[in-house]
Amino acid sequence: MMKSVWNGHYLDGKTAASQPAAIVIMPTGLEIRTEAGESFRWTFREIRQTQGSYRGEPIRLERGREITEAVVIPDTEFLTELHRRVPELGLRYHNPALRRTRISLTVLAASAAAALSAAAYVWGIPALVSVVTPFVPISWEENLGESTAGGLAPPDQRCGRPDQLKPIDHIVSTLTAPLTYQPYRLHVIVAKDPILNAFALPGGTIVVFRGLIERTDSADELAGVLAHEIQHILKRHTTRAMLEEASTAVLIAAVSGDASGAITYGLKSAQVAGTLRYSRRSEEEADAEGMKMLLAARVNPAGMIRFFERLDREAPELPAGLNFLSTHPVTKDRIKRLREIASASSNTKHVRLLPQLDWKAFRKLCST
Amino acid sequence: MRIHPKGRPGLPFLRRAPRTERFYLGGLTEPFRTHPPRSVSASPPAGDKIPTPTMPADSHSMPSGELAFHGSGGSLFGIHIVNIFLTLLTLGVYFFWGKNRIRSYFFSQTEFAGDRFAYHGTGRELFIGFLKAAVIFGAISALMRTGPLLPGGIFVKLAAILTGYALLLTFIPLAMVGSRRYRLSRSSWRGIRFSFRGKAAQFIKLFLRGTLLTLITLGVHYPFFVTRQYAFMANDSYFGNRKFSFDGNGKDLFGYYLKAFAIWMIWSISLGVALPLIIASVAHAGQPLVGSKAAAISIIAAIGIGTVAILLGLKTFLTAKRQSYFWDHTTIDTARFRSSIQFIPLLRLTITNFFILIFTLGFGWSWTAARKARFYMSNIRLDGAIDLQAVQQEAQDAPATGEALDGFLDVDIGFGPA
Repeated sequence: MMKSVWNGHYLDGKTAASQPAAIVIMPTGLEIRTEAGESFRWTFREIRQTQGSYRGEPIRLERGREITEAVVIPDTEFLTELHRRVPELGLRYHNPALRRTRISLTVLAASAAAALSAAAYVWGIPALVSVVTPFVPISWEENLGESTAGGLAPPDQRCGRPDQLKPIDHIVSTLTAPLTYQPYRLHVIVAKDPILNAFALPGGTIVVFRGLIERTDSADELAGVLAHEIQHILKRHTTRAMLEEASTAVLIAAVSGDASGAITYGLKSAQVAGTLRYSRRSEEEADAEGMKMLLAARVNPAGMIRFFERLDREAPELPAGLNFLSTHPVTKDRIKRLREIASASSNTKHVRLLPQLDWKAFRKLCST
Repeated sequence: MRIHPKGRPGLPFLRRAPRTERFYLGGLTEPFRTHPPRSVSASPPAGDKIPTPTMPADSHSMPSGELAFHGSGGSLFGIHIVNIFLTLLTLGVYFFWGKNRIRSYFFSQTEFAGDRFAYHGTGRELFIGFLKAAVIFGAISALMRTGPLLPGGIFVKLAAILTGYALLLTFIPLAMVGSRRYRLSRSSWRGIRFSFRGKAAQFIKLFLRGTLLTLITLGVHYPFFVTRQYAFMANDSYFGNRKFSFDGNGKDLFGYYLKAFAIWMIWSISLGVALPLIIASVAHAGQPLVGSKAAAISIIAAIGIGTVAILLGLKTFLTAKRQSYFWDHTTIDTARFRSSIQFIPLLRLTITNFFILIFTLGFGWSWTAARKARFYMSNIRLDGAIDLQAVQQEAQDAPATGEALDGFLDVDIGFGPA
């Protein structure tokens, strides 16, 4: 014979006094009898179970909104008995018999959460960003690019008068000539810094550093670099990167949930590592599209390849195994892919860029 | 200002009483027994054939006035994982319901004098609060962004930006008050709600004044400032119709802050002397003093780790002293809270939790949060008698907007002493 009367406490919601009470399971509800001799009938429909879903947690049943009365039953067997006597209650009350199922579901949710976040990272975020990027006005990119250029290469740190930079403008217009339409005003700045680098700012500004110009041996080589940077602008890689970074932050916030306060610092590095992968993807795209741009403009692709090979020789790669820390793909892989695209092209007749120009003299434009 | 990690609702004001104290159950003439009565001895009303229930074996050995946290990291982890799954599935919307579930778990697992707390907030409230707070924040950030683009002279632009900053600074205390008001109004013990009835305007004044004074006095005012903040939070908190009070004074904490500052100065000055020598030896690699460049670099690394360790130690020391002091000076009716929070155990907890988080890449959060709650709850108790029959329900409503503002600003103060 199962137990039919349960010991508990009744809280009337008016004072903090807790009255010992007996609780009886009836077919349509509970009957509560307090020590003081009061008796209440609560129907199952009006009762809410708010505690007692975890091992060792007393069962708490509440009734009423304005004044909430409650009954607390320490013996969790009560729930088992409740479900046995009134099976139609279903999931409205916690069922200890389903605890195992609940654990399996939790494990399932954990695996699903891992799979979902991986899928969001690999496909979801890039797809979302591709949809959103076209809606970002180009004027925003231009504002951002201008203010960044002012900070990174202030006017007194630039070299070359406008007439000295004409050859560079000529290369840019040769490269963009085959395009039917592009909305950017492309503009190249040469910065005095002797570092070997170049980057594209959103909105159309390209900054090439003195160190890079001085290490090119021909206009074709610089054209290769410029084609890569122009593609960053046309494919709106900076805008994408910002959107991807923001989305990754949201994804990480979702995964870390309430713990965000405690592990913010670890997550920051996870976020950086996460966006590096997107960054390498952008570089690969700029390489491939840049090479196609050279071919379309009938510029000799050997220049770009030669320049990359020089980079490879001069700047040693990160130690093997650290590639995941790099924003750029490994140079050897890049060269291989560039060769593949170049050799697939049937176009072997190239135009000679700037035939009258003495490149060796031109590249010293920052020293004069 | 962050004391408790989110989700660990430092349960207010609730601690255990020493075994010798008696905690009277209101209305009944006999003292509250070591275990609250769990059985019904009332005779069944006539007409019903209800057998007299048997006295259940009472597994509780909780002395009256004591607090305890019964939650486990494992259960919390289960909730956390399901929250993550549902948050991803709903593109983030479930986040608020998840947060609410975690909070509810912490309250339900915390026991005072044999009865569990209950949490009555809902995810829906948090979500609506978030939407409202997002509008307010959007407006302020728009003001600050468009400020430089406004037509008119530099003064117009400057005024717009400064207004934005002033609003933001005002929002920190506003969020602290709003968050406390919301959370206390949603928590109860024995069916009686807590509430916070302080006026936000007063706290904003207190906060701005304290911030200014702390800046002007180069930090000397800080111990007084934190004490005043806590006093404000405690003095306007209620359990039903019973008021909490705080009778501490910032000058009692001043010595601890001075001590911490002195230790920090000694460390900084010795570094100030030693560092140039070490740097010089690194510059001339292989030169005497430390021998090699590698040795010098490892000395610098040791100094870095030492500095972090000292900062962590001092911070934990101040937290332990401050929390203990605040609890010991908090009363409700004729009962007083007592804290046994001590520096070394708190330091041990902080360090072990730090390493658990690092080695689990943050996924051990559930366990560290449970450990923290267990530590605090087992070190706080309430001494003295309260007439529970006389505690009347006086629930106060509170919107969740302040709570959400708090979430935006990340100035979580939890419930306990700041």
